[in-house]
Parts: sequence; C-alpha cells; structure tokens
Amino acid sequence: MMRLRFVPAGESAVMALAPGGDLEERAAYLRGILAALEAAPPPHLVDAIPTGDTMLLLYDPLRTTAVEIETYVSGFAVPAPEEHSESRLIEIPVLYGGEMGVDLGRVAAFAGVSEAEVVELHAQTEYIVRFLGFMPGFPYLGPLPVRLTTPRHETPRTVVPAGSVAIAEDQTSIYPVASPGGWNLIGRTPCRLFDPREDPPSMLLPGDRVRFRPVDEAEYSRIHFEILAGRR
Amino acid sequence: MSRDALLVRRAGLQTTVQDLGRPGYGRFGVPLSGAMDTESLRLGNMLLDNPAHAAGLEMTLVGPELEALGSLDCAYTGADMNLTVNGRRLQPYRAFAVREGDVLRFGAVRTGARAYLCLRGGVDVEPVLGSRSTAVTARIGGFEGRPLLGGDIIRALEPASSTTPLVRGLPQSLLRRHGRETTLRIVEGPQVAEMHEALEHLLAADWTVNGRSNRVGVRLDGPRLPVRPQAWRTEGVPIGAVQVPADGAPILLLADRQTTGGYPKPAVIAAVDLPAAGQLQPGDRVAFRMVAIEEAVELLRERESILSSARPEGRSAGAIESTISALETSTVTELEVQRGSLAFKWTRPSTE
Repeated sequence: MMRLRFVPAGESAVMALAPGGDLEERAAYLRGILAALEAAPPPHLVDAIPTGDTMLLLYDPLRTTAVEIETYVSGFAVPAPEEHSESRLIEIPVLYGGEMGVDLGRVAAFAGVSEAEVVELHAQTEYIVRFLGFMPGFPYLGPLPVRLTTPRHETPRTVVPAGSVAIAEDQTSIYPVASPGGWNLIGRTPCRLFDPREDPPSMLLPGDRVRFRPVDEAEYSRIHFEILAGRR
Repeated sequence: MSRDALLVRRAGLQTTVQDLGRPGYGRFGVPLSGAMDTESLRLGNMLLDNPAHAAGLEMTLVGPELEALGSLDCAYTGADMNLTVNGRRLQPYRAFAVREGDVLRFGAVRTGARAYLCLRGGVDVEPVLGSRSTAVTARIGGFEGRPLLGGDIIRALEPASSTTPLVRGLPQSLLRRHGRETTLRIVEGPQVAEMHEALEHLLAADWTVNGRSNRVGVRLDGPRLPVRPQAWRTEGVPIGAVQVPADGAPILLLADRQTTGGYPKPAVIAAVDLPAAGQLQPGDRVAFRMVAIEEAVELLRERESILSSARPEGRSAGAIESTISALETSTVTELEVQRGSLAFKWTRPSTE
C-alpha cells in the first residue's frame, strides 16, 4: 500500500508525492487519487495539478489548511493500479513526415532506422497520458519506445504549428495550438486537442490510453474538413 | 446584455482584459491568468459597485488612448499612469463618469507597472472556462487571447443594479504605495530542503527586475544562486513560485505561469504580496523576507479583513450625471461603493 508524502508549496498549496514503486505505478496511483478528488473534492480545494509522480493541491488558506487537505487526501482508498487499465483508448490520426513532420529524418538518424520504421514504432505503441501541462491540453505521453529517444532542439522553433505530433527525450506529445517549441516534429494531426467550449476542455485526460494511426494526405484532409465543419 | 463603451484609439504597450482569473483548470494545463495586481482590480470594482470578479482593463507601463462611445462610469486604480480625461489630469483610485466623445489618455508609469480601468457593469467579452481573463501565451480569453489593438471596441455589461452612488473615494490607508524598492515576503517552496544554500543567498542579496519580465514571470538580476545540475522532477507550479533555473537567475512565476515545470522552487511568494509582485517594473530593486506559513496566512487574513471592511471616505453627495462638466471646472466626481463583501472568489462553476 502506497502512502503519500507531502511537502509545502507556499501557504496556498501542498505538493503530494507518491514514493515507492516505478514511475508508471506511482502515476497510476496518483491518477486514482485525482479521479477520487474529482468525484468528491474536499471543501475549499481549488485545483489539483498532477504530473508523473506528484500532485500539487491548491487550496484557499483562509478556509482550510494543508493538514486538513492532507488528511482528506490520505484517506482515499485508491484501487490498485491495474484496475485503471480499463481507461479510454483514443485513436489519433497522424500524417507523418514531409512538411507536417520536418524532424522525422532527425529522429530516424538518432534511432539509426529508416523514417518508415520510426513511423511504425511510434504508431504501434500504446501510450498513457501521464499529465497535461505546458499549455492548455498539451499531453505528456509515454512510455516512448527507447529506440525513438531524441533530444530536444537546442534552439526552440519560434512557431510550432497546431496539431504537431512531436518527440522529446523519452516522451511524445501533440501541440494543441501554435506555440514556440523545441520538440522534434514527426507529423501532424487534424484533431482539436483543446476546446474551451467543451467540458472537459481537453480531448485527452490523464490516464487515457492513446494510439496514433498513420493516415495519408487525402484522409488527413477529409478529417480536417469534417472537424472544421463540426461533423466530428 | 452589453453595449459599446470605449474605442481603442491607441493600444498602449500591453493592454489586456483581466478579471480574477480562471482557477480550477490547472489540471488541463490552463494557466490561472487574471489581474497581476488583483487588489487594484478589486478596488476598482469596489468603487463601481461591481462584483469583485468583474473584468477590467489591465494596462502595462504605457497605457492606451480610449474614446468613450457613450455615457459611462469608470474607475482607475493601481499604478499612476498619468491619465488625462479631455486633457484634465486624474489621480488613481477614483471613480468618474465620462460622456460620448470624451478621450481617456493614459501615459507612462513612473513607479509600479500596471494600472486598471474598470467599467460599471464590467468589461464584456465572451467568458472562456468561467473567466474573461486574457491568457496571452495560451491564446484564450479576452479579445481572442491577445492584447488590445487600435480599433478594438470594448463593450460593457449592463450593471446589475442602478444604485445612485455618493461622491466618495477610497481611504488613503487602504492604498498600497508603489516605490522603486519592494520587499516581498516568501514562504517555503517544495525544494526548500534541497536548496537551503540558494535560499540563504536569495534572502541575503539585493535584486533588480530584469527588462525581460512579463505576465508569466519576473526575472531578477543579482548573484547567481547555487543550483545542483540534476534532473529535477516535473511538478505543478504554484502562483508566486520563486523558480531557479540551471543558470541560477531566479524567476518569479506569476499569473500566466505554465501549470507544470521542471526547475526547483525553494520558495513561494506569500499570497498577501502577490499584488506587489505584479507591480514590479524593470529596474526596481527587490529584497525577500522569509515568513512561516502560519504568518503568511495571518497576513493574508488581516489584509482581506481590511479590504472587506473598507468604507470609502466621504465628501458631499452629488449626482454623477454632471461629472464631465464638473471635470472641466473643478475636480473629478468620485463614486462611492456600497459597503459590501469583497470575498475572494476562489472557486467558480465551470460555465457562466
């Protein structure tokens, strides 16, 4: 049975740490806590921001204390990690390489394989959404096949197009909106990752399973058009 | 229900729509945003009998030039930005009325960084995730997620009530002074145990605000803090975090900060001093003082108590309709706030 550890993070937040086990186990455990918190939040909890093995709990310090929050959160009976394997599986169409994935060759060179093999490795793997961060709806997906581990660009690009599917170190992600970024761009999806009119606003949520499906230009354009037309 | 209120003739350096931000969406990667100096925005709303979370304009260092498109009650708070209305100078922390065609011209600040212009009823833009705040880096809220541009038309919501205010301003004791030297109180951050030495240096040194500062972070120049070249865990970032990247130059992470980050944070600015951090301008000198968590809570409680029990100081009563003619001849008419709750709105439904 894991026990959370807590460290202060100012007077309005406390950091919960999940020690023990490997990263995936700790992450699964924290996702269980997050689900429990969303179902029944303690009074005056403002937000809970999970990462791989931590969760920042933000609260109103005039109405509750860190101790009250810690006691409440520690009291959750969180199911074992394997019970979460029933999470959603979401498929994301990707047009790999070319103009859409200008760094596919760089990733292939680091891996010592062909571009086609990079695509195959990337698309045949099932990822877990470890957490969202950096910008609204930006998912940190892992584990990436070890072969595909590629360092970030030393100088980030000033503009990475929205929908870019990218790799950095041992993780992969999708840029929800255009932004500066240093990840290696290997393809692009027409999917809308973040839409503030939706509830929840993010297409992917922590704990979701994700698979990338290679599509050709015609299918990319068809899906893109359907999304723009509001038909999917 | 809203109406055209102001035409933006010149946008200023960075003018954005802000309210008290969008708490509760950090787990989706959405920054808090909201006014950098929440206290000044709240006082502006207080002067106009608006809800505390009504949206206003946040103006940075050099303000905009605005033309009134109708009769309008406004309040001006925060840093003194050399506002003139039809050429007549106005002091901050006043409410005043304008009429169609009046021109509000904001200049440059001397001290402080941000002034606020509130409108009776509040600025109206489409709420995004329960807030009208502009998150410039995330490109959501406000005017399509961007600062204002010349030609934009600012709309105001119809006020909920049509109370006739008295002629009053805010008590001087309520107002913060923005000097060129600021001491910020800090409390323990998540890496306090691993970074004792860096924390000691942070407290001992004098710091200068770097020009490359914005709503995401205030960068500080000074001695380089010792920081171990290790891979720190990626974790959620509280507002006010004092982050020390690999180069040892601290950054104060404020309203538009990213929700997660991988640099250590030995300290966090006490919530009571976040409005002061939001008023730091390039070149300002900054010092830090450590307080216990319990003291930080007590300081916040005291400040909230002062704000919520504030009574505007009175002169004689008067009608607001005659304001602009009074403007030309004497002083600006000041509107009173009804005494009311200024309770901080921490949680809010996900839609409005």
